[in-house]
Amino acid sequence: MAIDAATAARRGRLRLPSAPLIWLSLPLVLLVGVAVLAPLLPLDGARVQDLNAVLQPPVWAGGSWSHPLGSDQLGRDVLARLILGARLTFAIAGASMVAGLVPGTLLGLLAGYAGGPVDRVISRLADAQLAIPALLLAMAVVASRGNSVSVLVFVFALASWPQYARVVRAEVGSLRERPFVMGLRAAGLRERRIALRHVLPNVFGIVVVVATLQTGTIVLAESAVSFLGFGVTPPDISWGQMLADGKDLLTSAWWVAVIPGLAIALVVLNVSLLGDALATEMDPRRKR
Amino acid sequence: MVFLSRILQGIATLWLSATVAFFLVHASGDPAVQILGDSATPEALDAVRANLGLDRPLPVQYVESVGRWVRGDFGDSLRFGQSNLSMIGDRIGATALLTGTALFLAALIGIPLGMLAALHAGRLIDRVTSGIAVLGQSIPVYWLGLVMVLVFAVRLGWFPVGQFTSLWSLVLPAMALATLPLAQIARITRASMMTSLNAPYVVASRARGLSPRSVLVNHALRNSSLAIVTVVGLQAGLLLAGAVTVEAVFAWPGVGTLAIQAVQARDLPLVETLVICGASAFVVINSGVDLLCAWIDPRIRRS
Repeated sequence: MAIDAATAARRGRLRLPSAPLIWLSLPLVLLVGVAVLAPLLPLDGARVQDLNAVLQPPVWAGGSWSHPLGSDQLGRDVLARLILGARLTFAIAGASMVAGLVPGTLLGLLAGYAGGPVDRVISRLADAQLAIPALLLAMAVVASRGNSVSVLVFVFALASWPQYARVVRAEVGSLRERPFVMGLRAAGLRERRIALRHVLPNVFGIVVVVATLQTGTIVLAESAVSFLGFGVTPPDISWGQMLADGKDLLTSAWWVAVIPGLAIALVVLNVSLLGDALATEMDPRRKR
Repeated sequence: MVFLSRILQGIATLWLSATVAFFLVHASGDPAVQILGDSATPEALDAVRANLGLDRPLPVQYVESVGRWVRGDFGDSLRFGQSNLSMIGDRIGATALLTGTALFLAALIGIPLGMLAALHAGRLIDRVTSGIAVLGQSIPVYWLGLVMVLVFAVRLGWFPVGQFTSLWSLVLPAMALATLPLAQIARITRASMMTSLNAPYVVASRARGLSPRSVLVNHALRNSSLAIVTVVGLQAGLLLAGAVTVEAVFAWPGVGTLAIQAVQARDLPLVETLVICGASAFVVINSGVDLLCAWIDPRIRRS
């Protein structure tokens, strides 16, 4: 059967992402690319102390090009640390996002599709989880287990699964009553197959939106936990840890704390805008 | 009827939250090692375990803990040697003052801002407001606090630095803490007002010749109030987490600073009590909001 381009485009297979999506994804793709390639870059300045060049200001504030974003109290290059820190910040955010997305989506699917007591149990659990502020949860686990990257990923995944579960549950609840599901059921397909093969793909769009927004939230949460000294700790570098490192130098060398904070804000801003653009893309009612 | 079922639901949620907190603290690691450090002798570890009751099977500890919670007994702090609840009680006032002021500021600025944006949808003021709203939820709160200290306290000298002297020292931390809820409240107010402004009853009241002011306040805003009350309540619950970092930046003598000290000292009974109190505050606020919504909107009461 011949399908012309217009039909294929209408089916959404060949549709190109809209301009805002491309422009909003570009900086993030670039940043992640730099973070991934960081071991290949000359970033020795991130860890090597140079006591002859401590607290150099950034270029535009009277510094030199040897430290474009300045240096910290041990003469380490802020730009190099920012790039190395991005690795851990992004890795934690990405891993926690996936670790929260998978169980959250599956539990939401189960609750929405099965309904009844299963739904009630899962929904109550999600409510209970949401009632514990993520930061407090992280602090409690760190107190009993010590801090490590895997503890952070575990806690952020635990704090974010209800977000997916709630959205997916609501979406599946309405999909379940749609004619195509009844048709499949009438055709004698098993419930498990209908749920996984036919209902689940229909919620991917909304899951991507939630995942994008959650990634931003996790970057903020990681930075907050590390800022308090319970997350990433030296010699590891993350943006939150850099901020914590610089907070006591605020009056003498503002850039050590201000620059990583700015990096966090810009990345989260970019991620939120991308999430909003994706939501607009997914929801035909919001399209103009 | 709504009242009773909402309270029962709140209690069930709270019990589950406390259970999650209990198992996270007790089953995720060896608290005794965290308390004494890696170099502790086995005898010392055993002594701590016996002292905290950690040597008994987990289900036994859990049942015993639930029994104590129901009686309102949350134990004593390891680090400070005082009752956990009384220590939290001593500090709750400072935190309530901070978060209450922040929420008040956020609603006071966020609701009119959202309304203004909705009334001038697509125009410059709408874009600026939406920009501020997205920016506000991307900035790390504690970092904003640090920058505010740098600019307003250190450089300009308008505020005292680093101590809790008068109500004047409330301004900067409350403003820093207010940004995130302000952004969310403005966003939701705008979205909900956009819906109500285009609703048939608003168009009809405008056609009937009601003054724009009356249409806006009595019809559009009133029907948006449900969404606004819900988001304000949700933000009140979320402020608890933001308060921890902001209190750390401003050395605010509240529950957040206590939580930081508790984690630093690996004071598990205190940490556990703090988590349960945090969840309780969240559940109480949200149940209150639900009841308020039922009171505002008769449709919810009848369903």
